[in-house]
Amino acid sequence: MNQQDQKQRNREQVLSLLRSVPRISQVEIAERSRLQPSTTSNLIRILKERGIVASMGKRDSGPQGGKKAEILGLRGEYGHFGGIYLKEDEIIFGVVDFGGCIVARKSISVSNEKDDFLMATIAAEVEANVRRYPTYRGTGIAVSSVVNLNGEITESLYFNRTIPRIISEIRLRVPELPVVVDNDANCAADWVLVNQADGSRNLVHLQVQGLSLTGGSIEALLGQRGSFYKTEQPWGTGSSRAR
Amino acid sequence: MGNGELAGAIETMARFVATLLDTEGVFVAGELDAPTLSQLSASAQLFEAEMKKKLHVLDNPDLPVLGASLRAIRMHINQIQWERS
Repeated sequence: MNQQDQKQRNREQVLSLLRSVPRISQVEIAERSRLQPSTTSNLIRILKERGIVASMGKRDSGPQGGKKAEILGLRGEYGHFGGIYLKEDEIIFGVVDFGGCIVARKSISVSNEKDDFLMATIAAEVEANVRRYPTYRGTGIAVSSVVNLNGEITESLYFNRTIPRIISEIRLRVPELPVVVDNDANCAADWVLVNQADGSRNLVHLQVQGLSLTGGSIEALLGQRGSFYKTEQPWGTGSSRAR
Repeated sequence: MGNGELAGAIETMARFVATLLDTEGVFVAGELDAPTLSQLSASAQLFEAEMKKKLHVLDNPDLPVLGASLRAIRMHINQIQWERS
């Protein structure tokens, strides 16, 4: 791992801790992440300068007294981010703040609508959210799909035919908006890993939808995110696993 | 999906989950209705004692949406110019 990758991993680790442990001190971040205190201190300083992390007050000192520890937290108002989940019969839109709180949710049924109408609807909803939330910084799209051994989407009705057109429609309305697409089960698993697990557990996401049951998972060891993989119709010919 | 087919699917998935139990734990999260949840729990109990201790079931249909937004957050974080110029 080069120095740049290591720095990125350190940042992700600290941000993940700040997300999953709402009231945490710098000392606790260093202890849990096993980063050097000086590295942690430097990262926290940069995150504060960027407006990503803020002081949330001081923790009461214990019975022995001593210096009160500063409590740190993610600044929810730093930015808003959209999520779109494309299902066979429904499209779900969500907006979360940087702290991970969902601030808006909307779903529309999509039984017999034409593709063009759906794409325009999706793009219009994204554009409306960009106008509604001045700090809207990007949108992710979760899509049911098959992934290859590297966790990359390889085949999907939406991905091959619809996703590029949806992205084009969004870009027409909001040219600079970053858009990222990923597998639905892996998205779900990643959210739980970052927000509800302690970063040292494996995680599986199961999706029961219509006639199919699919799963995606993320392997995590000692706080390090590992390979993504997904099984498709696990009762069928067996699962594919990536390492 | 018929009951028998679903039961088979759940059992296969539970076996799959069991293969991951060599580390510290497994969370299962998903859009599962009550009968499916109960079948999954029952399947889980048929497997090793390890599984009973390590399997956690969450049921939240918004997880893919939330995860998609997390992807957008991560992309943004990675694109920030971190180093001082």
